[in-house]
Amino acid sequence: MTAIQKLKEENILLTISSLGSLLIKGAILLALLQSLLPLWGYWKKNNYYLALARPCALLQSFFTANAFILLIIAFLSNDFSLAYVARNSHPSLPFYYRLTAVWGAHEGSFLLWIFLLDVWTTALCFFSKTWKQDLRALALSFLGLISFCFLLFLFFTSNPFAAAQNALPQDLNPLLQDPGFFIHPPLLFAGYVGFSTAFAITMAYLVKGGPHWAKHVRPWVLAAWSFLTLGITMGSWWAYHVLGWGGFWFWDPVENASLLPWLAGAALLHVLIATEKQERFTSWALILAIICFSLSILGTFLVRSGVLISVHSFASDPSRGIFLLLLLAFITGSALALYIFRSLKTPAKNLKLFSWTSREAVLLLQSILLFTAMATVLLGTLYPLIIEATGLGTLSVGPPYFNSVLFPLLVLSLCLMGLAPLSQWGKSSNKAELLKYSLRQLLLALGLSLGLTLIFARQWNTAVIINLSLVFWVFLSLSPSRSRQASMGLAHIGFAVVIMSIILSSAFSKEREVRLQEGSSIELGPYVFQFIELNGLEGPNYRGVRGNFAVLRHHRHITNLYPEKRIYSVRNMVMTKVDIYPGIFHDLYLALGEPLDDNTWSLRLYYKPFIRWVWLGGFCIALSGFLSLLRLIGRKT
Amino acid sequence: MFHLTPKRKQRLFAILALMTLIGLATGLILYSLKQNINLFFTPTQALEAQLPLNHQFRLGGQVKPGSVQREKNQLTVNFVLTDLHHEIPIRYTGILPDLFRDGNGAIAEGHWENFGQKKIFIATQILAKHDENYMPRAVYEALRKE
Repeated sequence: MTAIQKLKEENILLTISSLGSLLIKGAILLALLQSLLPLWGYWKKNNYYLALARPCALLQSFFTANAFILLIIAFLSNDFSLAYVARNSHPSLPFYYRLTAVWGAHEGSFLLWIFLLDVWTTALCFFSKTWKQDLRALALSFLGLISFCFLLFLFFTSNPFAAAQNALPQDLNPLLQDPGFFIHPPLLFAGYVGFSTAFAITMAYLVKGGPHWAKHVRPWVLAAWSFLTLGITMGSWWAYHVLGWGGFWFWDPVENASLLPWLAGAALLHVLIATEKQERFTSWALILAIICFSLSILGTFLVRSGVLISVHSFASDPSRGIFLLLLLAFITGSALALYIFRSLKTPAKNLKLFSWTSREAVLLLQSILLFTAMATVLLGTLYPLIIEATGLGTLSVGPPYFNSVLFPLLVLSLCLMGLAPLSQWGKSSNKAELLKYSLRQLLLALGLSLGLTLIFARQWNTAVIINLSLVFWVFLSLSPSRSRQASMGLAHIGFAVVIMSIILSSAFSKEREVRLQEGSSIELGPYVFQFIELNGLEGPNYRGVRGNFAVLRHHRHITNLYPEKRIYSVRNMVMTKVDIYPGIFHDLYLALGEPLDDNTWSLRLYYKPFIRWVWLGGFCIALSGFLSLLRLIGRKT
Repeated sequence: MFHLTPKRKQRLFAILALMTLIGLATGLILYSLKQNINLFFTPTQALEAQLPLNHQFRLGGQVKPGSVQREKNQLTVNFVLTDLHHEIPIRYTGILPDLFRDGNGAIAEGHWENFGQKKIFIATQILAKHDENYMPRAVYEALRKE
């Protein structure tokens, strides 16, 4: 033992700390080569330098992948000589949560960010074999530049391999000790970071000029956006069952940070279909592609710089914020400059006019709507920060803002979705017939929603009826669609399902906060919750109590719910573990509040109708994205 | 002479559509922002601001150690938020968040109400952030200066 320590002190034996830092240094060097050599080759028209892009990119990816694996090993082997491991793990932490602890805080999640960037880089290396050599090399060069910047950031401000002297293990934040956390951050980051490939291809085209940009970039946007959809869906599911407030979306700035690139990505996907098919709206699509990635970096800035007072707030180190802000300005600025330069050099194409009832017009309008929605969310998110930064005071923008500004946009957007399947490429439709057909469908949808609301909810609610009829219109309008529109159909159905479930669950939820003594019971609508008993609980790294509640409906036993209250001993942090009785049409949701006196607890009970459909709809949207992606890949070969 | 070709006309329409939407959105945004902004105050600032009754705002501070008192047979809690200069009594009915604790930072959203002789702050929502070290920035500064 002492011999090993001596060797370690003399730096003969590599520690995880020194090896990890070495790998990152190597990756920094390779990323620099990956970005500079192809640019030099392009400048000098030298194919040998251009050809170096791919090996540099692959080797750089290999280095970061190893650094990431090394950090996983450090967590699994409880190597508390790393400050990051010590701050986010503990010997008593179950090994599967040690895996999630890898991305449980700032440094590790940044390494995950870079690792995923390199996964996308590697994917680009393999899926670009048929591309022109200079295009591929330039795209890899821009990816290398992004890697280089973020690796520098990682190494100098947030190195997960920084060593610690006798650090006490502090355990992982209990909120993150949940199965949902295995999959939510990697998916979300994969989506976020994925826009970098679309950005790099766009930049390569702006440098080089040439046709077929939309064809090359669309699969990458589609892939990134589908991952982002999955990540957001998983995130909202995690918030629902972990945060204990029965909500699935809080309009928290960190959530908005992921919604911004999603909205911009959706706008880009819509317009790209027209751009690829007809070489139309190219400028608008180019700008959206640049904005998408800028919003990803902005999101990273919002989450990682500590400027936010939010439920998620993680890091607070001013140098991190300034670096990210400079990077954002640099990347967006240079991309827009390049865009202006290119558009001045390219002669305007003489395209045929399009009709305002054609497919391309509907796509353009939908992308403008999505962009506007993005801009309103962006404003609501940044407004408090701007006010605070200019010293005008501190304030917060509440969820009612977002709900009220997005509502009219949503109504317009659903109307366009209802019209979309009727429109045709390059053709104007017979307006009278279109109007007649749509009106008939709309009336049918209105009747359906009116009937269903009155029969099942037995109450009049104008907002619900209007929204539901628009949702039903989207469903109805898709019926005559042909098979090649299947993926659009699925995405629109998914979106309509999400909207439907949001409307129904927010309008018809029931909620109670009560005091309840052991042995007594409480009613929530037709349900009766019986507080049977309370037992002690001993977990691997927590202790606590578990309640046992029987749920009855009309004297018939339905289920037992076991909500818990835990105290995680290392951080001395209290956590509520809710218990949910999930169902297709409604969830029952029970959370323990606080112990009051003599066997009495405060409780929070929810009846949440149609809540599962929010995530079901999200999965449909993501699935449609992946299906279209498969079709695009299949088309190429 | 500038001639409005059909192509230009169509582009003009597209730009007009964009502008109209953005204009509409801006109007909605400004209106909604006005309705839905919650100002944030420390106890000292809140007392200085003299806001009218029923004006909704956020109050951030430290939960004064030993001040948390529950009322019998209800979910109502009374406690005091302080920034070490001034103290404000808070009344809240509902379940407190897990991280609400004596001496921790907390934010209360609500309004002033007359309660007998004195004014107290009726909270409709209590936020204790999901980080045990969280403290509103202004309060943190005030505590650090002590």
